[in-house]
Amino acid sequence: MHLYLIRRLLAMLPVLWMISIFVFLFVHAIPGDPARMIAGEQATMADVEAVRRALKLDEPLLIQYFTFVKNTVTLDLGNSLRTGESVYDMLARAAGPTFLLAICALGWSVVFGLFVGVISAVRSGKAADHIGMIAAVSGISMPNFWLGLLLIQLFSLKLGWVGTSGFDSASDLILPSITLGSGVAAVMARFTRSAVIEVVREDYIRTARAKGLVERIVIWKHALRNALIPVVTMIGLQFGFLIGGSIVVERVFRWPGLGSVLVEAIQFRDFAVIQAELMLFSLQFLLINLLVDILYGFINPAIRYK
Amino acid sequence: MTTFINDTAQNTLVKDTKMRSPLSEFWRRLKARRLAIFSGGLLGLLFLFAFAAPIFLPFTPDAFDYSNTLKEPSLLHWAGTDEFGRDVFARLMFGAKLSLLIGISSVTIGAVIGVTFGLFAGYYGGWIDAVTMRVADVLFAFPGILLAIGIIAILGPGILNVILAVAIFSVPAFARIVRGGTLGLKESTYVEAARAAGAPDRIIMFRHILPGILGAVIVYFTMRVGTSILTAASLSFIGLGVEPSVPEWGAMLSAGREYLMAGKWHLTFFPGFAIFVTVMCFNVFGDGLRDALDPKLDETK
Repeated sequence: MHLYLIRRLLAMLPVLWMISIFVFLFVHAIPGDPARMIAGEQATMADVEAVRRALKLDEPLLIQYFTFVKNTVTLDLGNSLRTGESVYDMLARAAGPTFLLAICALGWSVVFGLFVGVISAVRSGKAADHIGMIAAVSGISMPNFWLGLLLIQLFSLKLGWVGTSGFDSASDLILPSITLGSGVAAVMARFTRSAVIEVVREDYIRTARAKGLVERIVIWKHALRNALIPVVTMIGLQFGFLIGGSIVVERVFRWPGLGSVLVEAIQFRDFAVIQAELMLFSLQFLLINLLVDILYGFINPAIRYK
Repeated sequence: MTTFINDTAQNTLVKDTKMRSPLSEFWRRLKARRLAIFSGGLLGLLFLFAFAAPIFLPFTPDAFDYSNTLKEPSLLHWAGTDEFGRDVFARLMFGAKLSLLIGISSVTIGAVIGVTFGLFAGYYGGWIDAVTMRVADVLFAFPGILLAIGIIAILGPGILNVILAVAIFSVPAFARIVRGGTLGLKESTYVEAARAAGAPDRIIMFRHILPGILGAVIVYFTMRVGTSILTAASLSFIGLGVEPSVPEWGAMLSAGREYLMAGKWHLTFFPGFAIFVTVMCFNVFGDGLRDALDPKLDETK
């Protein structure tokens, strides 16, 4: 297991390197003079030079890259070009709400998606299956920002059960996490359904049935446990899409999270913040993939020795 | 994909003496999927409506009418009017054209690049394959919307940049599918025959191998258009897509939400519904195509 872990960690390095170059070159990919672009069209020459120095754009590229890596590793992320606030502080404040939202969304959607998927698989071809799968296709096709607005309309404006936006109390979590999780729930349901249908055909399921086990136990214990192996990978993949989706959903609910900070930073061309955010999102993403790999190794020991 | 062609070819030989062409076999299977046919028909209607709208609609998408602002849907204004008195239905139809344009052109760009990379990776193998697939893996695992946002952050908003941003995240998926197909086909007898006859690699790849995997590419293309329309609309909704004044569905929704509090539901409902139905049709139609082509082919595997 240790060896497997070390191998997985080492495999992350080239990817991390690729991402760091991408994020680093990001500022340099802006057409024209990046310092001028960032400072804005009305900026004076002195302002432009200040930006250039702040982003260290006046140094050789290689030196800039090493400074960038050093600063990122030591969490010295610089200051926002717009407000002058420390980028680290901004991200630290926004990370909590985003994380909370993502966890809540993932939690309900995985449980619900698994449940619907198994039911659909067991009742394959029957009414419950059709309803479940039509709901799933709808969930995948539904623009989550539209769903969010519909929910606000119904539960906030009409019924007045919860607030429309912001994050002031725990109940404010409900609508955003439903919105964010709907797509994941749909994908999970579809995926679980096909995984379970595949497993149910196996010999050991027939054996379990033959020895007189109750169908409920056969399905939920024997079949689901084995169907879970591909499903776990899927959860990891979905978590990434959840992070992406959270950017949009945070805008709908004016959620004070990383997505809102990112979109605002892009609108004001606040590149110090954009760079740090892109790095953070990528890192999050890699860590989740690593976590899935480790989990995978636990569920399926054969993988560890490959 | 390849196994499917081989299987049916053998099955038809064994089962009945009348050989069915793969195309008519495919059509027979597709027709059995009513929901997919229905979705395909709906998409056809949408195309027709989107392009014929200026002919039969009495309003243009940009005609201001300050005496008729924020009107609810009526017989005259099918989807009501917005804050400038513009006809929402006319704007929706213009938005349909725009969404289809963005969706189809971005996936086309992504497909062309992805297919080329996939062909080269699968055909030549070795380090070309290793590098291409490593990059594709990283890109594939990356949330598409985040990638698109990153590109918009560099290029700035605008329709053309949205198309590019959305195109890029289609590339790795196409590369993967095509690489897999190429790996299977490059050992097949007819490719070997072409090689023995002295055909150059370029001809073998694009004239002999590519047609064999085109089916899978078309299926994936269809599904991808839905996703791309959704992503583009999301970008516009968060203010990083088309200019806010353009009647794009996501941008319309974003503008309309300001009037949600005032009870003007139609400004957000109709654009959202349009996105939903269009994306769903592409997904269901794509699912149908996939099942008709090969029941075993699965996007998630």
